[in-house]
Amino acid sequence: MNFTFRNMRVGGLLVVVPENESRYADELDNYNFPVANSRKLQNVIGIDRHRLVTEGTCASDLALFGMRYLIDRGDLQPDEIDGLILVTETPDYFMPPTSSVIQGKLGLSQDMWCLDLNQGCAGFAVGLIQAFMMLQQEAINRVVLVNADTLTRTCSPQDRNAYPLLGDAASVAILEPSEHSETIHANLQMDGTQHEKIMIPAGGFRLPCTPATAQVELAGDGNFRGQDHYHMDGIAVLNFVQNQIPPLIEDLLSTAETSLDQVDWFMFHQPNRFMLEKLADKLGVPREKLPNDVVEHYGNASSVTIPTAITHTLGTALTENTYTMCLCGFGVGLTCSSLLLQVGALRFCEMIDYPSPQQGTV
Amino acid sequence: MQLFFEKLADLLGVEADEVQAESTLDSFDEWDSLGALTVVSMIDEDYGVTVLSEELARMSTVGELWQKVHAGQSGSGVDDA
Repeated sequence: MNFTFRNMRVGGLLVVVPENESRYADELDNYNFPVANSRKLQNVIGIDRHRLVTEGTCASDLALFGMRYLIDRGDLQPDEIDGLILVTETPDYFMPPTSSVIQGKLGLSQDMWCLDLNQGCAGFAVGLIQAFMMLQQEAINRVVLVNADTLTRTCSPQDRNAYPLLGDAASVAILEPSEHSETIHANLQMDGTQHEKIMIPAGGFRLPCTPATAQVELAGDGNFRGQDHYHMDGIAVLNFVQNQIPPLIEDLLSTAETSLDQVDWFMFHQPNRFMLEKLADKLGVPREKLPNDVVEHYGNASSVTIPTAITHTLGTALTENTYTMCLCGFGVGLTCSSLLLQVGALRFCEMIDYPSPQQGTV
Repeated sequence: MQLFFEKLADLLGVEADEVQAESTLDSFDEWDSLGALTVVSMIDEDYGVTVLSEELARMSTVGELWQKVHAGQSGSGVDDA
């Protein structure tokens, strides 16, 4: 499905990562594999260290920290926010929406639209499409898109398939009207037949958490996890990415009548370096134009990886320069979505640390 | 087939003669889902064959994996890489 938007832009981008960091080298004893084997994987897949929240920190804590930082610096005016979209798979509660929690804690206007979206690794792209749709309404002049997840709290620390790859983070993006009229192109594909490929089986109403679902067992792939835990079928996701993403991007660029070499940056979701190198090769994109080192620095924080790739790679260069960017997210659902847009002249583009509540505890 | 076995041995971090048609995939230390990811990716890249996770779950030996690669290749007319 294709979308187009005009006269809209990204006004600023902030990423919040927990200051608490864990190194893969210090986790090797957790895993049910020979240490030499785990070390080799480190270089092949691209794993090194990741940022994790400490016990008790929620998605809204990271989000509020980022929004307060922007408000305190004058980069975000609370009374100008007409729409607040929170994309998360790790909400504070089943009910109410976590976006309402954030609105209340910041004392934002009641004359606004708060919306939670349950999306994962495609969630920055899907969130942007939703934000641009909101901006099409005359009543809405500024939308704050917050992506926030604390997936490491859902993952078995003994699951080498997922734990060392995951991280926690939040991002705050400001979307606003623009006098520039370049068309923003976007597309979206959803395949719900594969909804079990990335999932947390227990904890909803289909399979409520019980002592049995919390039981950690040796899974067929050599990892220990329970039904309460995040589970990813890595091969299925690889299949999905290799088969679905190249045509998705080709379709986006052909609709936009743009060639691959007219794109300055391919800022894609970051599952791991290995998959992104393969994807760049398959697309025919030089690897240096498709950054792939977010996982080894911060971990894969679901929908926050695209903002992280942008701020980590370009940082304050984006407050001056403007680039043609192709964004692409893919994951839970399974969902994939891409956008082609100009990003630049941002009022802010940076990454900040979320302090650990108690120093020295993990 | 020999080249395929050599590539497999390289990815799994074992000597070439340790990979035989009757070798069971589970017998390799590297054969967990992340190790398998590197193998499936190599097959896609070098042979143009997609091995689905459901298919992989049903395979137990290196020989069965090769059959899938070989059958996929003859179907698509891709030469042995």
